[in-house]
Amino acid sequence: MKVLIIEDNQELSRNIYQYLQGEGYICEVSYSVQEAEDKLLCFPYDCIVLDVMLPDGNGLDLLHFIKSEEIDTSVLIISARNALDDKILGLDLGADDYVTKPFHLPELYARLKAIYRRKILRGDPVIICNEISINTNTLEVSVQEHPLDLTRKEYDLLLYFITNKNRVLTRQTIAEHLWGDYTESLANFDFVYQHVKNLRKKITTAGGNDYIGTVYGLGYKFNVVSS
Amino acid sequence: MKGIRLKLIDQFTLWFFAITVVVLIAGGIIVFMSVQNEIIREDSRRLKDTVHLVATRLQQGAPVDQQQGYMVRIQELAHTAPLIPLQVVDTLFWFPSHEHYERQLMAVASYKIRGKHYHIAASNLVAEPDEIAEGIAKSLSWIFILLLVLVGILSRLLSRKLLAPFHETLIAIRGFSLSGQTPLHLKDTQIREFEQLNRFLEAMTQKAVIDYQSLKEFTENASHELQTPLAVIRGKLELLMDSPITDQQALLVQAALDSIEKLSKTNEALTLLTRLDNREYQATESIDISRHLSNGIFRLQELFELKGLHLDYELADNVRVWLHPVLADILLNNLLSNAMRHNIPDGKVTIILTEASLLIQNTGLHPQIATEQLFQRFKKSNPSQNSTGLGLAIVKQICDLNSFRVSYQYSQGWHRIEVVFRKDKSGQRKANLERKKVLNEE
Repeated sequence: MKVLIIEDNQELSRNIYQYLQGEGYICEVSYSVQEAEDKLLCFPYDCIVLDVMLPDGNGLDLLHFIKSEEIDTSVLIISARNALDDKILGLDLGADDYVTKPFHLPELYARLKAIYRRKILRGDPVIICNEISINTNTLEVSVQEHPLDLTRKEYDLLLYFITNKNRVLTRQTIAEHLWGDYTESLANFDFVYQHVKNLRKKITTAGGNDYIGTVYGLGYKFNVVSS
Repeated sequence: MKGIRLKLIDQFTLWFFAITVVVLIAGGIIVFMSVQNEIIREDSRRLKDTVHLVATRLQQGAPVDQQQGYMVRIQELAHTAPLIPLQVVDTLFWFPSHEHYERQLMAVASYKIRGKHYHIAASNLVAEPDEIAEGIAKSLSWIFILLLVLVGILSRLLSRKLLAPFHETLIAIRGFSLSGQTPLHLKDTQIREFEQLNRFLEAMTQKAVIDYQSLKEFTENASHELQTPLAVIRGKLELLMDSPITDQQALLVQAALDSIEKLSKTNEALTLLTRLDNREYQATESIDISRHLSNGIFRLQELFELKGLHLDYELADNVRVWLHPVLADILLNNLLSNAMRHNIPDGKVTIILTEASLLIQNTGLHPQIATEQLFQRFKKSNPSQNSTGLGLAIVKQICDLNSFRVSYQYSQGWHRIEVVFRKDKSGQRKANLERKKVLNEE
């Protein structure tokens, strides 16, 4: 998958670049609207990560540009937190999803991947990770062909883990992924522990491997040894 | 000073009437004096003429008897008596047939004619002062009544016409909203004061809109400028996490991440408070708070269960409240989160929504500071807790902006936060109608 990152802050774009590259993505970076327009006209991209505030214009204008030039790509907006108007406007203008600053890199990646699945892999909603397979249309999970009975949160958690496999996920990241803006009410992340414990148990009971490892002091990691 | 508030036109009318009364009284006195003087002067002249005429006739040899009459009396005086010069006497005179005194004007003089000394008196009854006064008072009263009626009716009609631009301005101001971002545009009027007022309002709203805009921009920029570096730091730490690090380093990374989390939440809450100060979320219609609340409870139900809290609720259906939907969700979420966060193990939460108010109670520890202070920014009952200390400040701000009354009490292990919705529904309806009216006119 080829991704164009349009973000004027060099360190931020480098973060995204590095994370996506680690997942085997081909990334390019633009620091301005002008530069992005040139690149979009010359090369095809599967997805664009677009910051709304850019030095030479509003990122939302690029959405108009993409529409008018009939460029076939998906767009993930990075908007400032609370700027409700930007989110709504962006989605109206044809963006596929958004994350708000300061975002978690695993979250950004999970959103990007979800867009990718929705738009590019239209015919294939099934994600397979060794003996675990997830149907993202029917939300059904099976381990070695045995269906797994997961709650909605456990399903989300498993998908998040598999999407960000071999990455350290903090309890905070997981909590925010599962509960969104309501993490404020959590006070601590014992809930995450509960969910992880349940998921782990269900997978192993169904005969799957115990992929979820604890990372000291930080959180969890879904360990898959690539063959 | 508080008094009865009259319409401008009624004030004008009352003052006008007060002045009219004074003028009419003064005018009445002047009219009375001049009428009376005129009558007396005219009558005196006529009576003097009569005396003179009688004297001339006698001189010419007319018999005395013929000259006597109703008004003229002639008496003979002693020849030696001194001559009486022509003079007018104003006297009261008993009138037997009317049985009261009448005012009489009499011209007298004596003449020596043909060796005889005649005393000639010509007299006439004149209108008494009280009769004149009565007549004047009567006619002036009629004038006053006529004025009262005409001015009363006409002033109302006229004021509707004259004050029309003013009322238009009032409606325009009422419909003005900073977040609408358009300064007022008022029609030209022929009345100088209103014209001044309109121009002043236009200039003022223009400035307000610009100030508001720049403040809003500043807030957005500040928030964005803080969020970007926060995103950078968080990303760096997340990338660092994925590299091989020691346990010691992992703890350092986690501590840094926690602080970033806190900073980000605080920034978010402060931005929200600023936007609330800017009145960016103005309610434009009433919402069904029952639905918002049951959705909120549904979303948090799982967390209540995970935390082992016992939740009881009793929600009246279809309670409509004048509030922006985004604020409704923030308000409810903050209240519910608060009840959950500051609870005790195996604690309870009770939520009661009625037509008039929302009551959320939760079990909890005794607060360390006065409960009302918890609505202040960064005031926490337990400073060590990992919260921003802004949740209730936001609740308070939302309530203040929407004229809700919010109170916080603690007694016997229970924290009670009550939000009393704005009572005057008619006021809301009125405001609503006016807003619609303005929209229609535009």
